[in-house]
Order: sequence, then structure tokens, then C-alpha cells
Amino acid sequence: MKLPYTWLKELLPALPPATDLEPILAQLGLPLEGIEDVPAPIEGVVLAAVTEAAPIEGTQLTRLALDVGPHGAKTIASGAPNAVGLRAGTMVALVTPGTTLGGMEYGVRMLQGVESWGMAASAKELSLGESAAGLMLFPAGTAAPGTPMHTVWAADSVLDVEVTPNRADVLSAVGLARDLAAFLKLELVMPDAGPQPASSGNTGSGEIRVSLPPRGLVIERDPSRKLRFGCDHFAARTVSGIQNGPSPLWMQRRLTLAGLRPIDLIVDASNYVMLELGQPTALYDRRDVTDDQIIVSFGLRQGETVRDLMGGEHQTGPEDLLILDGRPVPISTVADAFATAGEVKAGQGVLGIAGIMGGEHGRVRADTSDVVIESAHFDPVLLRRTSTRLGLKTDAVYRYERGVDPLLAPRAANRVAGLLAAAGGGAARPGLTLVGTPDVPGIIGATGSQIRALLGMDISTTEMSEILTRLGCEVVAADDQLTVTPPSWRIDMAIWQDLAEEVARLHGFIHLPETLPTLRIHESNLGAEQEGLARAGLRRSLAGLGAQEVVTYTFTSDEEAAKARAEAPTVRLQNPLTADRTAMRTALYPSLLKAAGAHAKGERVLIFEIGRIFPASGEAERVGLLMRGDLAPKTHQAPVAGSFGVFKGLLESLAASLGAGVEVRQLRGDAVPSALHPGIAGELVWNGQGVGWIGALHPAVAAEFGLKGETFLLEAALPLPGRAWAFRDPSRAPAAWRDLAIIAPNGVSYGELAALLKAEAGALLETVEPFDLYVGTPIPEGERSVAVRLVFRGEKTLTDAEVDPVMERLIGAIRGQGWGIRDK
Amino acid sequence: MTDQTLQIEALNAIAAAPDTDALQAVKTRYVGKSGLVTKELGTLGKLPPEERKARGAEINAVRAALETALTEREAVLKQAALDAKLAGEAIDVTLPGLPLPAGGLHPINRVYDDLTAIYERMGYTVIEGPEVEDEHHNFEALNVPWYHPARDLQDTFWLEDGRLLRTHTSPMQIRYMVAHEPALKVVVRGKVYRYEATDATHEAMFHQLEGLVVGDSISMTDLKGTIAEMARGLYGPTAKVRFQPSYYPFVEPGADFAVWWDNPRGESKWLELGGCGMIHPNVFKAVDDLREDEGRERVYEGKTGFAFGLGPERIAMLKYGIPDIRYFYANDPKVIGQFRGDLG
Repeated sequence: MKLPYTWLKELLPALPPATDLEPILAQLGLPLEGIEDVPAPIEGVVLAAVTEAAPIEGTQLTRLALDVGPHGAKTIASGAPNAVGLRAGTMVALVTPGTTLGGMEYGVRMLQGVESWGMAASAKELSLGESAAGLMLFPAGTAAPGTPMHTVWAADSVLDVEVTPNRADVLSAVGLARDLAAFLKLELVMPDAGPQPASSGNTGSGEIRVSLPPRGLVIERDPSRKLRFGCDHFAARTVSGIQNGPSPLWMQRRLTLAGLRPIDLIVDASNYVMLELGQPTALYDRRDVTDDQIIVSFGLRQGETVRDLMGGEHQTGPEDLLILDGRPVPISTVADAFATAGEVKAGQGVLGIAGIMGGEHGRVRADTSDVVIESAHFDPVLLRRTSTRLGLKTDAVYRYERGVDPLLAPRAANRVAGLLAAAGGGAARPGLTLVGTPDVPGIIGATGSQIRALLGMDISTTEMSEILTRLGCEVVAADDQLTVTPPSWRIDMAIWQDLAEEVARLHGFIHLPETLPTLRIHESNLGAEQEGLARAGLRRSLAGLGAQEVVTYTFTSDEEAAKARAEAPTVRLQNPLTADRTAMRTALYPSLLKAAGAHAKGERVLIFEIGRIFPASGEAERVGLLMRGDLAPKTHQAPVAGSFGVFKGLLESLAASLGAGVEVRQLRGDAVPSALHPGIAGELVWNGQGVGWIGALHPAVAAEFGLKGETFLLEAALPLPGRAWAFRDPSRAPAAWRDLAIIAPNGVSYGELAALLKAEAGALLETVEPFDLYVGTPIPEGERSVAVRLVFRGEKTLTDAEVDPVMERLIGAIRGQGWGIRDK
Repeated sequence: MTDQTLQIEALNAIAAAPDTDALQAVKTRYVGKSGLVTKELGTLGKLPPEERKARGAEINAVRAALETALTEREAVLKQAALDAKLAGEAIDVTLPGLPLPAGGLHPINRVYDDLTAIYERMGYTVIEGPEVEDEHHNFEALNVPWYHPARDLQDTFWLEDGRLLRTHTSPMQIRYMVAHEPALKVVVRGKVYRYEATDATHEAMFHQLEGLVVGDSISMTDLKGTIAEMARGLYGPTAKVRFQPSYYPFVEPGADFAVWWDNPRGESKWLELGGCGMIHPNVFKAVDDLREDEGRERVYEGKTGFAFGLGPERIAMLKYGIPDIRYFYANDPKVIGQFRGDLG
């Protein structure tokens, strides 16, 4: 929220200088996004009074005759649309000849036969605001003609305050001043309250009559939660005889500094009061408020097109709050409104979408003289829903959805009426229409010790009471007990913890001491650390093996999954940011393939990731490892070439360092993941359980990712299964060994042979290691010889009499499979 | 030949022996079985008994002198032979070794490890959880109902099935409390997602560290002390912590915390690191409701606790001077390969 410093200073005469406010506001939880020094208009810009405005024949230009005071009578030609038909007396900001602005020196020149003395400027041209759409215009009598503008439009510092969604109460000059006053113990000077009404209610003759929707509305999104109200407080006041035109310079200046664009007095007065008090208002041309009647309607008029005052069109929904006039027939009760609403013709009678945007019907025009001021408290939930659905985020709904002070409506209506009367010569009708029973914050009970325990701060109950009173609460203190009624603007205060926060905030968070919790952790938490420890151990072991960890995006797309031959994504984004990130990945390896692509061509790649994947079967955690190129590239020494064997060696080394048993089972045919080379693929078995796969990347997939040469990959599910373990005193007896060469068809994997040997040999067999593979004469075609060394060990030195029977058993088992033994 | 002549001749031969073989020959010639000195001993028997003893002593003295010289010469020759062998084995040790790969952790996980090490010292358990969440855990149970404007603060990636990518690690507060009883102390690590255009300081995917402590009488000073402990762990004993009021719907009171950083490489300053606060009673109620749905006891009502959250990317960027958040996930080996060893 942007607010000029001098505005705050007017409300808080003892306010410290602007440059001192940053730390003060930060302590209040209202950090400054920035503070901008806005200079006054440069010298050479003066106010000039229009004496005559006439179109220049055959052009789009207007000739303005000006009274420039000491400079005399001058003329200019202006192309601004709002120069057309200017009333005599209206004042413009004139850049006098000899003044340099934006690097250009203005002079006197002939334009379409008019001697143009300098230039009448827009706010943008004077670097005062964003509006370049027209000339800056001020009411007659703003200043003596020729007055240098900087003497009436002073430099200022604009505070840009970051307001969290709970602090709706500070979204205004008065709100911010109120919080500062409470913290700094300053006196707050409230702005003028406007003409006080002679009467208020819903029956005054000649006043606007208002009907509100019933309480306890039900909406489809959340039928269990009844809305307390659609609109629980509605004030309407009429002002007539206004001469609409430019608003006063002081008002335009404040609006401009706060980032708003001045339009005309009626619109500006409404915006000004919103910035001043925080209450949005809507002003309707009284001619459109048919029958002097306003109906706040919920659930009516759905599917209708409402044209707003900016020319936009919106489809109303079944749960929008709309402001209707009395058309088409006099309506005496809400029930009548419900009964007859369906007969209303499209577009007719809709004065606005409540709290969000006014309608074209009812909008203030150049010739508007009588207005109806609507100042109401609407349900924040309904307004937020409608605004989100329609994509209409206005300054008004921004405040409503956060929570406007429910009691503020009449004050704001009177204040707008006062501004219109003072600046526009209008007369406010004596009566104020005021309906509804507003919901205000309820009473909160707390004890001082409760608050002290939560904060851990030693603040006396008396100081708490004093702080809360400064914030506008009504506090009844009895010993340690506090009974607190928050002020109507603090709708965020609902529970005693809210009181604790306010106490800490005004006492000062800087006084919080530092202690540490002392806790005996409940036993249900024991063991929760195991997964994290296992993950950390795995990560460090992989890095210790020489692999670099990567962290990749978890997003993917159908195209990428197809390229990688991964499962098609089913966890899909409703609102993707880019076309290559439309869904969540179903496997880790496509991410690793992309990361491998970040390496220079020909560079060795050895990377791993631990991350989450989102297949149709549900979110899961995976570890993946990828290797490309040589394990050790060639130098003056021979390289250690990359190969499946090297890659699997890394896996085995990893498993050994983690104390796990790892096995790879040959995959064939349909069992091979389609991203892998059909002949180089295996199931990864960790401590006896299948956890994933290992293999070489299929060359067709490699080509899709622009990877030449072999790439080896593995992917396994986490957490990896553990194993039972117990210490065993190792046997010191010497080993006995036997070699055996088995002849079996090529299709029989080494793993199958080894598994058979281990299963048959029993407890004496310590290890099996292959030491030779042989294909060729005299081994038959299609078969191979696998030579293995079997190491046996017992408690005592083994004799041939013990080992020989085992060997006979093994040979028998091999023959039983139809395989052969190669003689020595 | 006199004894003296023989001795001089033999000692010269020993000294002149160029290698162990030559020395062996000299040994054989003089003190071997049929060597000259040995033979001289054989002549003792022919001497009269009264001369025999004196003559024996003379010859043995010569023999002892030669044996000593032989032993010494042999040691010298063996050393020379070993030196020569080693000289032949010399290699150029300045040549590079076998270029084996060297691994390392990703900088985000290094920062996470730094942080969790601090919390583990304080008795916290490190946990992780799902990144796809439902609206209830991500928002509703954290006191952010569907109509709350605070939802605007966290632009959300919604999934087609109505679930979402978690916008913070805070849903793990709910999940952990539903499954465990207080007192408890945990920190959560993991990825979070925001529907946000990417630039040098914004990413659609980033990481958070979330802390949660629940007990019978946890106070806000415990929270500040815990954050201060972390700050000193990260930035050394001079680090200080500043709390300022802020708003997160799932805490009350809520605060933002900043840490005073004595930057060794530049300007020292307050770093806004994260948000924190005392757990909102509505969060405890939502947890108890979920526990009840699962047939568990309601155990959170009346407890107090605190939660805090911060971003490891920001800490890593400040600590290491990384200019762009996108560097973390581009996985350029020249970038992520730099984070090795003790980085100070």
C-alpha cells in the first residue's frame, strides 16, 4: 500500500521524520517495501486559468485562451481530449516557455494558426503520475493564475508498506496512523466526520430504501459453512446539486502519490475516502436508482450479462452479490424482490457487482449532479469468490476480502457527502439510510499468565491491559483475568493467542529472550530418523564411489516421457507454466539423461540422484545412477574403459560398503524395460528383494537424448530393504578350494549356475568366483564353458573326505540340469 | 710370506673386491677350507708344543682381522647393490595418476546437511514426505480455508485430479503429528512448488527446511533460542537473531526472522531468512480431527509448539555467492562440481 508521508503526518502531528519510519514499521510487522522521494513539479510550471476553449476548425486541436497572471493573457493549442469544452475558470498546469522538460525546451510556436505559449501538461509529462490520457485540470480558484505549481504541489516521501492479509485494518491512512499511534503513544487527529445525519434508519421519507439478503446463506462450495451474511451493514446517503468537475488539487495530489488516477470530483471523493478510512464506497447517479430503492441481491439474476462502468461485460453467477435498483415494479419486501427478479430484462437495473465494480447503469456522468452514496459491509467470502471467478481484482474488493471494519459504513458515507458538499457545492440530504446488524468481533477471555507462558516474556497483566487499550480494545481486568472486546476494525482478533501477539508486538519483539525447549520425546517418535539416516548414508556412499549428485526438475511432459520410453505421466498440471513442464515425472532416469546432456561432449559422466517420482501407482522415492564414457580416461596410461562390468562393479562396491547383498538377475524378452538394451538388462536385487533395474540404455533412446556411445543406468526404489545381521567370529581354519568348469547353453546365466551351486553346496561353501569364460572348440556350438573357483571353509581344516562328497553332489546337480563338466 | 705380509695382501684384496662374488673368492682364498690362513693353522701340529700356543694366537688374530674386514666389506657391497637396484626403479612422480572419478554432493544437499547437523545436535529427527498433496493438508488443516486471501500468497500448481503440488513443507507438520504423539521435535526437508515465472531469484521448484516442536509448555522464547542456535551454527558465535511480527495463518503469534551475518567477503547485514511462530490452535484441532478419523486418540489439544521454515537455496546463494537460483537445477558439472570439501 502506497501512502504519502505528509498524509500520515497530518493525522499524527508528532510523527517522526519519514527517514526514521522503516525500523518502526518493521517492528510493528509492517515492513516497508520502499520509500520513494517524489519531487515537486519543476520550476517553470505554473497554474493558468482557462478563459475560453474553442475547437480549431479542421483539426483535432482545441485553442485555449489562458490567464497566466503576471505573464498576461496567452493562448495554446492542445490535442488533449479533455481540453474540449473546458469551462472557463478551470485551471491547467502550464509549462512556460524557456522551461526544459524531459530534455526538451519549450518555447512559443505557431500551431494551426494559434500562437502556442508553452504547453498544458498531463501528470505523466510532469512526472507526477502515470496518467498521460489528458491534461491535469483543477477547479477554478485553486490558486491565483501564474502561481508556480511547486508552491501548491509539494514534494513528498511515499511509503510503500507491505501489509499481510490479516491486517486489513491498516489498509488506509487512518488505519496505519492508528497502529503507529498505539505503538509510539502518539495522539491521532481524526479527519473531518462529514455532515452528521439528522436521522438514520430505513424509513425516512425521500431517502433511499434498502433491502438486504437474508442471513444464513448456503453456498455450494461449502454447504456445511453457512455464510453469516451477504451484507450486514448498508449505509446510503444522497447528495444533490453537485457541480462535477476536477477534484481539488490537494485531493488529486494525494490520490496521485498513492498511485491512483484522478478522474473527477465524484469518483475521486470515493477513492479518497477509501484511502483515508479503508471503506470502499460506490456512487450512483441518482437518476438510475429507480424508485429510490436499492436491493442487495444474492442468488438472483444468474447467467445475465452485466456491463460495468469501464465497458467490460461480466456473466453473473448463482452466488454473486448484486446491487439492483427498484425497477421494474415497486418492491416492498425482500420476498417480492425474489419473486419478481426473474422478470427483469437483461442489463436493466443492475447498479453494480457488490463491492467489486459499479455498473454502466448508475455510473456517474459529466452531467451527474445528484448521487447516491453506497457504503456497505459485504461478506468477504462471497466477494472473493465472485472477484476470482470474474478475474476482477479492484482496490475495493482487495479490502473487502481481507475484511473492512463492519461499523465503518455510516462514517464513510457521511465523509464522502462532506467532501462532495465542500468541493462540489452539493447539499447532503439530512437523512442517512442505515440498515443491517453488523457482526463485530466477539469478547475474548484470557489470563495474563496464559499469555506470559506462550510468549515466555515477563510482561505484567497491567501492561497487557494498557497495550490492548491503546489498540482500541475495551479491556476489563480483574486480577490476572482479562476480558477483551477488540475494536470493530480488528476483525483478525478472535482468540487469546491473538491478544498475545498484540501484546508482544507492542511490547516489542526485540525484547524476546532466548531459551531452548527441554523435552522428553514421546516414544512413538523413536525410529522416525531411520529413513533419513539411510538416505544420507546412501548419498555419501555414492559420492564416495566417485558419483556427482544432481538435483533435477520433477516436471516432465508427454513428449519427454515418450522419448525416454517411460510410463506416460498421469499426475498432470492443470496450469502448466511451460509446454515442457506439463506433468510430473514417472521415472528418475529421464531426468538423469537430461542432466547427462549438460556435460561436454565426450566427457566422462557419473551422476546420481535421490528424488521422487509420480507414476500411476503412486508417489515414490528412487535412487538413480548413470555412467557414460571411460571410468578413467586415457592419459599416458591406458584408460579404464566404461563397461557394464565397471558399472555393475560400482553397484557391488556400493552394496558392499552399505553391508548389503546385491544380485542382478538377467532379464529377457518382454521383461526388459523398453528404455534398455534388450541384451544388457537385469533386475536389481538388494538383500534378496527386487528393487529396480540395471542395464545399458537402448541406442534408440540414447539418440532421442542426443547421447552417443554407451550409457549405463540403474534405478531402484527407496527405502532399500535391510537385512538381519549378527556378529560371527570368523573361522581361522585354512580354506580348501576346487575348480570346476561347467558347460551349459549360452542362455544359462552365470547367476543361475552360481545359484544352483550355492543351493546344493551347503554351509561349507564360502564363495564362488568365476575365473574363465570360454567359447569355441571343443565346446559345442551354442554353449559355453564357465570355470569357477569354489572356496570351502569349516571350523577345522577340511579334509578331502569332507570336500569330495560335496563336489560329487555339485557335479550330480549340474548333470541333473543337463549340463556338462569339462575335464581337465 | 710373513703373517703381516699375508694380512696386508688379504686386506687389500678385500677392499678391492668390486662385488659380493669377488669378495667370496677372496674369502675362499684366505679363510676358506683350504685358504692360506686356514692352511697356516694346519702347520701348527708340526711346531713344538711350547711354540704352538703363541703361533696359534698369531694366526687367529690375522684370521679375525680378515673376518671383520670381510663382514664390513660385504655390508658395503650389499648396500651399494640395493642402491643401484632402487636407482633403476625410479619413476617420474609428477606424472598424473589414474583419472578416477571424484564424487560430490549437490550444493542444496550440502546446505541441508549443514542445517540438519545443527538440528540433530539439538535432538531433532530429520524427516521427508510427499510432494503431491491434497488441499486439506496443504491449506485447510493449516488454517488456510479455501476462501482465505492468504492463498493468494502461494500461487499453486493444481493437478488435474484436484490435488496439488505442495506449496510449502508445512503439510508435513500435519502428517507427522497425525502419526506421532507429542512431545516431538522434527525438521522436514524437501522440494516445494510455486506457480511462478522463473527468474534469477524465483523458481517454480525449490526447497524448504521446516521445523516443528510440540510439547506441554513450549514458549516463543524457545523458538527464538532455537533459531539463534541455528544462526550461530551457520554463521559463527557472533551471529544474532532478530524477530519481527509477521503473518502465517498456521501460527499465532507469527514472526519473520533475520540473522545478523558477519560476512567475511563483503558487507555484513541482516539476512531475512524465514518465517516462524507458535502453532495456531486450529492446526492442533485439525490434527486431532484427522487422528480421530483414523481411530487415534486426540492428543494435541492444549499443547503448545512452534514451527519455522526457511529456504536452503537462499542460504546457499548468500553463503557461496551463487548469482542465480537456476544454477541449482541446470546441473552444469562446472558449477555443481565446485562444492567439495570444507568450503568455510
